[in-house]
Amino acid sequence: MAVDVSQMRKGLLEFCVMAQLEGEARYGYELVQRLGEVDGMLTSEGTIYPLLARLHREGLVAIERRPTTSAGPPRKYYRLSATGHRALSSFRREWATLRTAIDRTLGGAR
Amino acid sequence: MSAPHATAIIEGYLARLDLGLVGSDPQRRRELVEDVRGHIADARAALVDETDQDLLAICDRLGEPGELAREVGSASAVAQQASAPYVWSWLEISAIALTVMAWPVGAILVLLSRVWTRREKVIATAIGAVTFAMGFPLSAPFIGPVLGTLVPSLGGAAPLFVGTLGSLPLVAAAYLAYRLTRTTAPGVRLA
Repeated sequence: MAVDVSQMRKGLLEFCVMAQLEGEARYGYELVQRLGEVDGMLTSEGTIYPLLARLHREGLVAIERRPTTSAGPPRKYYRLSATGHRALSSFRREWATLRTAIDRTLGGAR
Repeated sequence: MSAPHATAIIEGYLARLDLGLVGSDPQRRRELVEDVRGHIADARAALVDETDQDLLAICDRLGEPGELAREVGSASAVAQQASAPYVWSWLEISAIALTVMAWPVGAILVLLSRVWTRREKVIATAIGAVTFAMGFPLSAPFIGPVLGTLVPSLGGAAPLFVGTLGSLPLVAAAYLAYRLTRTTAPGVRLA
């Protein structure tokens, strides 16, 4: 039976994105490059933008516009908000518990 | 130096994306197209000497425009469902009216509605049930002796007491109507 992990990945991606924005503000392309370093994390680069827009609407990330070195329009930089920090901390705790439980369950089933 | 067909490739991709977003929120539509345009500009800036193949590869990595549009559409639909205020339906209006006029039917309609919370349903049903129980023959053996001794002992306040008990369905209906104006339909949070 083939395992479809796309939905699982989709649900976890937002927290991976938030983790990338934890230390410093990043712009979309930079974020995509960083996530692309992890194999299978981002199947379509463009899907990051609807996700970032949703995180912004939910108050989990803040946006600031900074001028670019080229003549183009200012770049959008995303950074984690205080609410985002709390949500990410909460997820880390939940994830640690869940990962241990699943590892134990799958390991025990062998 | 730009690739020979840079404009056609990039604007073609953005036009397909924009077309896929028809019907979505105009501001989100505009923002997504601009975000993707900025992404393409950043990706092009990283190229030393771009070719058409490079630009096609950038668009390919971004994903099918329809797929991106669906991401916005699904998020938008869920967000609207979660935040839209509930529109009254005949079920709730009938439930409130029948809570006064025919309590058992009204109570059933209240239970069937998705608008009120379980707590609100229990409160309204309990309030309305008191008056109904008073007039229900089977409950007379239980309520009769209590009221039979209580009411005469109240003296002048007895009519007020009985009137209050009798108007409890009105209180239940008023409570349901009040909660209805302050309630929104249950929402779904996007995972």
